[in-house]
Amino acid sequence: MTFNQLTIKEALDALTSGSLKIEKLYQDLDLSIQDKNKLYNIYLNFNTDAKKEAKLLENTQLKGLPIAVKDNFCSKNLPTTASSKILENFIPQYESTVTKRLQKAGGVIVGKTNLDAWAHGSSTETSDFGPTLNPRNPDHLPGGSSGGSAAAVAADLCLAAIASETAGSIRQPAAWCGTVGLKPSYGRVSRFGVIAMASSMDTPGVISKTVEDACLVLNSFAGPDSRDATCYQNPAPDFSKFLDQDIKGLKIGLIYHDLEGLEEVNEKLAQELAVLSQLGAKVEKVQALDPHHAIAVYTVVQRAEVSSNLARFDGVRYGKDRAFFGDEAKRRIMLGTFILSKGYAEQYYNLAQKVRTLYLNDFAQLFKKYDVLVSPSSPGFAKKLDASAGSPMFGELEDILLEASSISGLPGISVPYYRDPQSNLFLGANFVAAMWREDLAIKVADAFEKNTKWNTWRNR
Amino acid sequence: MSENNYQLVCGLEIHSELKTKSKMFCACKNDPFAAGKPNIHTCPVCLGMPGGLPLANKKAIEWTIKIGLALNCQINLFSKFDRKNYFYPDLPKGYQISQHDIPFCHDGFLDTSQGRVRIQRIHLEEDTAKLIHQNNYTLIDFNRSGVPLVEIVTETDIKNAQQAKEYAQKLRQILRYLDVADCDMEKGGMRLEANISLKKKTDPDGFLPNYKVECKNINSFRFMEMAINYEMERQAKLLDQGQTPKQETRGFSAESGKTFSQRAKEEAEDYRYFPDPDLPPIEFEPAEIAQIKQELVELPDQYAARLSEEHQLSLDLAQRLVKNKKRAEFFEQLLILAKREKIESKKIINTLLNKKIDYHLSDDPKNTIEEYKKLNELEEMSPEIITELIKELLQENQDVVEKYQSGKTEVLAFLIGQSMKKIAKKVDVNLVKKVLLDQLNN
Amino acid sequence: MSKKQVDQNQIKDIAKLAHIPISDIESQQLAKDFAKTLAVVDQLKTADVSRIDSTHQVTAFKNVTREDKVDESLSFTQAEALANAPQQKDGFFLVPKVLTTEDN
Repeated sequence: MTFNQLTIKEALDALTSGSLKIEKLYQDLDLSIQDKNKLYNIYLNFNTDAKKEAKLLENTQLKGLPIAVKDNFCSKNLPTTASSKILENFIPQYESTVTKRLQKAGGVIVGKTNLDAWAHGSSTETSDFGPTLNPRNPDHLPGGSSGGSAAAVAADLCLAAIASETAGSIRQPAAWCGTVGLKPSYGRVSRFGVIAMASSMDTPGVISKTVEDACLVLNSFAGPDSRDATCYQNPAPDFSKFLDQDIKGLKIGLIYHDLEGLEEVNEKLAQELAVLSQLGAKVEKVQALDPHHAIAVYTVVQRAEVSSNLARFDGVRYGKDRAFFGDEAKRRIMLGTFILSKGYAEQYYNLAQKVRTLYLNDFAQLFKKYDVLVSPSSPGFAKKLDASAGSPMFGELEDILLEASSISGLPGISVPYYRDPQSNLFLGANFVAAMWREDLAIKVADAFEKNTKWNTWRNR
Repeated sequence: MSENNYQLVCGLEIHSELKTKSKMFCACKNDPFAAGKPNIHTCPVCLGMPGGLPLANKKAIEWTIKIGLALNCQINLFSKFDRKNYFYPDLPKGYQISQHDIPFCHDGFLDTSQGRVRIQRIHLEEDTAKLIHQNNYTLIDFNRSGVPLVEIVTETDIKNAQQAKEYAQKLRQILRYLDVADCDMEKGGMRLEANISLKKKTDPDGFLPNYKVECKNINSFRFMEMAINYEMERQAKLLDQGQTPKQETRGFSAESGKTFSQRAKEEAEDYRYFPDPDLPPIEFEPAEIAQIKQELVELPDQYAARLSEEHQLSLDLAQRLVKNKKRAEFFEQLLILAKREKIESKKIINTLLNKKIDYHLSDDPKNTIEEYKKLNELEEMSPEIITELIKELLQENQDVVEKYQSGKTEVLAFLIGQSMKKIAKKVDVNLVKKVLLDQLNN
Repeated sequence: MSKKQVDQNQIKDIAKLAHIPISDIESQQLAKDFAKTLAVVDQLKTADVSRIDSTHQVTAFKNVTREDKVDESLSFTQAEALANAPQQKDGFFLVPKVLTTEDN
């Protein structure tokens, strides 16, 4: 085993005890990167000062550990492209709040990872710089839009990764790559410096090897920010406090969508959740609102907001002109423009924002009865390369089980609950809690991870 | 003239930059005019960089409410910011953060000498960058991008160009009184736009013409007057010929004194307004609004009325004293002191206004009072000497005496003046007049 | 005009509004893509929202404002502001001559 294959917790312990020197970790990491990055196409750019920075961070929270960062977070003096040709040469002169805080806590940016261009998608195939491959099975996609970050974790080309989710973009690739994906409540983390997609849904978060690691990284950057008016002004808790908790008596609702094609994943999940019942939680099947409306709400609101958010890319102050937008971006901007236009705003945009309320209300009702809701993160295993071609609604359909919680701003964690021995591909379980209740989702996800054998790092 | 058959239908849209320390949605310095160099007061927010997020300036919002209250508006207790989406190089985000359906203030008024002008709405938004056009390229300076901008829109109550000018002048005076804006028109701190159309005088009261011409980029009150008058003439000619003036945007040329076509507006641009998801809405408690109202400074009209009553001045004279707040405060202090010293208010005011005494608004009014007293100090002189001197004067001016005695009594003023000159001392002019009349009538 | 169909001409109008340059072929393909997406989105119309308010922000925050203070540490120097400018001159951003005049 090489040291880049450690979890954050293991590496921190080893560094503290002295059994690991940070230089050795970076040596092993470098070799792995040289070995795998080109093939999987994970990193678009590297921080050439990473090793140097790490050496000076011994006495910090994260002790200089290497973290991958999705390339839609503005990193000062490091190229930030959003995987789009438009920003191919863009070098921000400012830092996003998340990466600023990460670095202050001792995390080191290894490099910027590939994504679906502008975070539009669930495959990472729409990147202008080529798709990322799934390290678990390179004929398959890693999911998206944070495919690069998820692959970086799965391939041990970092110890954890920063990612962002608008509707599934953390949890779905995390599930497809067999890793943990933590999407906090909307507003829990500052969006300042994150290239905006859908402003009312974008949420920075973590993709990691374990639930514990996710907590440790999230601790470094969650919390109030005076540069983001939609950021929750209450201080964030220490998320690692919610690990190793007794889940006796917690009520868990297994969301059961009676949709075609979901039978297999639903069955497998129901089986695996038995372990939670054994730990004393109450697991019950429950019906929720038909997710198809959530897809429609997401589609409308996201495209409307992104059409406005991408208007600043006019090639005047930075970047190339709008002719360099890729096909998916053009589609979404056009549709968003149409949805907001005279004569259509009422029947699409305004209507969608009303239907959104229906989901908020539905979740409010469900959370009166349950502490945590769970469902599969994805309707199936990671799809093969090229699966998203020709399908303008590919992402939305892949995210069908995640959109409802995304449009409602709820926190959710995806952890692996099954691995197919032939394909080496994974399924992930999505644990969702009420707004600001990451504690409950973490408690249950952590218990599930520690009491099942699906986490590849806990079960080497 | 054909214009006499038509009635002006005109509304004004006036933008004013607020003089907050920082910009509307970011902490950059609000100092576009005196910056000295371009693009030195920018940041990821006002430069529209990826990931920039707005944070609303509390003071700018309070000041907008102040302006609304000063203009007798209703305040929307719930309000929000909306995105106005369009493309232009001076608009870094590709949208302007503004207000659409729920502006901070609505339904107010401002009274002019020609009647009341109703104010439809007042909203808060951010300013754009400055464009400098050269021969084959355009330069952009973002120092001004994001400066708070208040937009004040009237109903079509403007009856004529003079009223438009008076309205704009009074508005500027109020904004300066509130100390929320400098309204420097030359620097673009205040911008005027007039929407102009004509209807027949015989058309019913609420009738609105089926076209409207927008006149923009007018940077003085005088030019606005000229533009409106020119438009009335131009549109009347077209209407007389049975044509409808084109719905368009026109600019004003100072050289020619005429408006000219800038851009055809066949249909209004689709701004695709939607609530800005980056900015939580604003909600006021009625008590907060009441507090702001209570703390509102006294505005020029009220100030003048009060000075007129308290110090027995004509309203006209009082209005001359309150042109700006500093002036009003100086004169009020002066009048209070004058009252205490039993100096007639009208007298001392006229002395100052006629420049018989030098004064500056930063002077201590106590010193001005002293100067006035000195000026009016009466010197001692025996009545006998006065009588002698006047006798001498009349002997030296027999022709004038004859004129007076033949009925031209207006020459008395000349004689009084000459007497005072001869006496060369500050004596009671009433005494001099009495002595003169005595001698003249004998 | 059928609700579900957005024709090529409309696509071209939208492209103009969105400042996205597209070719004829692209506009044809986009019309097809639109149809697929609108088919999904039209499902919204079956939802009962008769007594429902819109949710524009899930946080329900209000009155988030900042004090009127200048913070130069958050501002760019002129060099930083222009660091990524494709064209600049004497401290200004530069674009080809703008022909029409807009608001302001």
